[in-house]
Amino acid sequence: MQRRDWADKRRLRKGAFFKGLEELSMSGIYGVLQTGMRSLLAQQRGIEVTGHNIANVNTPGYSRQTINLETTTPVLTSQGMIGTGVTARESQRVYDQFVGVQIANENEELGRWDAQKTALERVEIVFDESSDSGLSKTMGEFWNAWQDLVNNPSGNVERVALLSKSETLAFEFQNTYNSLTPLQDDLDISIAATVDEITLKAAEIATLNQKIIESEGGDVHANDFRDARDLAVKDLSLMIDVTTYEESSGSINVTLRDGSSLVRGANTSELSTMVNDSGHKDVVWASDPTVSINSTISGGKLKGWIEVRDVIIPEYKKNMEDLVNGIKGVESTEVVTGAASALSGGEYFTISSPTTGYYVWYTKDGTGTDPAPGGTGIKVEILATDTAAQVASKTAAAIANVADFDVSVTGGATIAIANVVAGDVTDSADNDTGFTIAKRIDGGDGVNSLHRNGFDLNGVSGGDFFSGTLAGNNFEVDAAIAADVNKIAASGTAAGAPGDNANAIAIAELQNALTMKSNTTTFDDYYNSMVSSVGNEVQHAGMSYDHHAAMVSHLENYRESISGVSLDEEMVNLIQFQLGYDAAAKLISTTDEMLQTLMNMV
Amino acid sequence: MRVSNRQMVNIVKSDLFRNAEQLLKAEERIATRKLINRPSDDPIGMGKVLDYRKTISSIDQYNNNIVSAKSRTEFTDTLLENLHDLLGQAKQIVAEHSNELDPELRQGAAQQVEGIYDQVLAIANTKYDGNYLFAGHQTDTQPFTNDADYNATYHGDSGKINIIVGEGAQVRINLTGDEVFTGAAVASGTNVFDDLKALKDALEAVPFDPSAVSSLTDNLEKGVNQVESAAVRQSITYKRLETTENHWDKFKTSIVDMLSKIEDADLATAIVELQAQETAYESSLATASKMFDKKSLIDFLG
Repeated sequence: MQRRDWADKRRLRKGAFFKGLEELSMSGIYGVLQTGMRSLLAQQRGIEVTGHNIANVNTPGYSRQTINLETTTPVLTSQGMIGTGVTARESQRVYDQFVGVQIANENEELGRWDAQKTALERVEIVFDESSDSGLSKTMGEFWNAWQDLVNNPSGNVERVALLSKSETLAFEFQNTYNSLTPLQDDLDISIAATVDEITLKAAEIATLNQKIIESEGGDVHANDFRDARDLAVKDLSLMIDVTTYEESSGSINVTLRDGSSLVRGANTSELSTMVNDSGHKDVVWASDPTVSINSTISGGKLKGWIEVRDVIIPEYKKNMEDLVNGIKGVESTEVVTGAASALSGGEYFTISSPTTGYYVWYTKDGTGTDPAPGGTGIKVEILATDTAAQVASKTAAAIANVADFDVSVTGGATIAIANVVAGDVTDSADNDTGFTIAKRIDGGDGVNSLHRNGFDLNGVSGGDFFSGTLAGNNFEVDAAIAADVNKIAASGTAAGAPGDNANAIAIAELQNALTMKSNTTTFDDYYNSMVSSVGNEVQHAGMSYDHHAAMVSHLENYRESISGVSLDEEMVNLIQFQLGYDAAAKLISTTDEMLQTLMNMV
Repeated sequence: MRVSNRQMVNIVKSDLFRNAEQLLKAEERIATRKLINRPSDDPIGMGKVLDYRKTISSIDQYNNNIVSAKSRTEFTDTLLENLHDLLGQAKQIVAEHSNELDPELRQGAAQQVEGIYDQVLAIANTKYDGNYLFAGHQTDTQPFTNDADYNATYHGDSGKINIIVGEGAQVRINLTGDEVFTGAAVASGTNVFDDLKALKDALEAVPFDPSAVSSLTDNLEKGVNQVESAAVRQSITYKRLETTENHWDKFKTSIVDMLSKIEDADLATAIVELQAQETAYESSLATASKMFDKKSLIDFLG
């Protein structure tokens, strides 16, 4: 009962104790009481900090905190300096700024390669050849089907088989090509989502900046806010390239590597996306929504995704287009409406009309090839030395030989065509409209160009074997051949059909011809090296990822070693503070007894 | 070094993940029996695998071509043998009947020649796999027809038919009617139909002129030689096909071997590898459980 009275009294006086703590510093029995009091508070503070550490043993980004205990100012008495006990200063987090920066830097690379690795692994699935059922096999079967046709050039079974293998080839190519597009589209979604996340993280950092500025000052450290901010910067660095520097106020500024500011104090600049020319999403500043900053992004997941979407996948697509163009032996087509002046020797051109279907073809340098589809074309032989006027007059003469056309050359090199006849019916309304002159420049030997050199079962010149392009999503076997396999031109001569297989041999031998990469490699090798390079890219991304993951994990360990909570250590601290607390309490109760003894003396 | 609790957890986690990943790879290799399960497993190896597969597929195709060409050549060879026999018979008739005085017997011989003529014509018009063998490129046109007077006409051409037996390697597999029968396409050739018709006419001629019959010996001999040299060409072709086939068979064996070396997982090695990975994985599991089982200071505080 008495003890409680004392305690009550002490509590009443607490204000006075605290108020006069420094200047009072009285020695004597009351001084001992005060010393005990201060010790109790300090040890209790120590237990609080230990408790905070223990509670956050599993909190990501948490740095353990320590309490600074200091002796209070001693008093000078006639007996000399007498200590007045202990006080708990501000708690501090144990933290190595340098490791934090290193982790953020490594994280950028980690994010980049992580993004590349996962995206490329999906590309790799598209080019999966490991199961013996990929494009490579389809290509082999296509060429083999031509050899089967060589063995029996008039055989319907062989022709139908070739058609079906060719259709499979075209389908597989188109399908593989098309499978790459959704991958790019998916990356768009990832990029947009990440841009949103960056904005959120930036806002979080700005808010934390604000809180830190408000709460810090003097000895006060906003430890937990700083931990949270460090974690946010670390997350941010996984997504985009960032550098940070701290201002004296305690707030940090976050900038991208190109110097533009993302967070400045409590303010953020927002990132956004815009749709670029190829229909994909580019990263932009919300304040400048039409200028792509894709090229300045140098790290993080955004960099990885942008690289895969805009560089790596388009390159594979281009390779596939080149391969298909090589197989087709494609000619570039250029429309030169009406005038022959734009033509020179060694070029083809066609005059076609949707209503008549007539074709006029130039042949190269008198080689005598007549590539007219369906044999309805007019062959004009032009020499490389011919002038534009000569080209025009030769063409006009050749066209005029076909009674259906009324051709004149004006201005030296312009061909005017009138009185176009569709089939046998004179159609004066057609006049010279509806005609386009397109010049075609031969792109070297391919299935199409060789096929046009040959003759089908009816002795008619072959047309194109494949039509369309991958990019146009219409690469397929030419409709005429798909409708009638007899139109496959296996014969090398018009009279030689059906037994002549010379053209089929020529086409079958394309398989081993050096047609790709400026005539240095075969179709198969070109494709194989493409698959190899996909493998290489995935392997490279995987290795880079592993490397940076190891670096980050090493640095994280280092950070944990410095800043992480060790429960054993906290237990020791706990006991230490508890003992201190117990002892301080004992000190007070002993002083209490002493006071009672003193009182009883009265 | 200070060791914190999260550090221990992180190390155990990354260790477990790494070992589990390697275990999965080892299991995949056994499940698929392949070392290369995706291009990135071995990019250079993958390129080689595709190249070998292509080579094997091409060799299979070459062998298909060769097999069908061989049976065609064999068939042609049989026909040429028959043709050779028939012309030999005609020669025999010349030898036996050049001085035949009995018109009845001469008539019989003439009929025999007629029969030979018809058989030769049938051989010349033989189809193989739906195509006329001796028509050059005109494989769907009957190459020889004859009128009532036994004048034969050739409707084919001298088109050569090649097949592909290797990269850039072609073998001619056909004989044309103007090489074997009309002789128009060979040096000092003779038209066997005309010769047979001449023999028939000479035997039937009234009055009979023995010298007309015996003078045909040379031509018939020429005809036999013409067929023989065609047969020799066929057998050379056959030999070449066979040699090429053997070459491809051997080549394929070594390519298959090389493919398997790159692509296939050696089961014994793979299983040993799997066991090693299992051990590694189990030991990291054991380490993990030990680590979390471990008494901490808390357990010893009252």
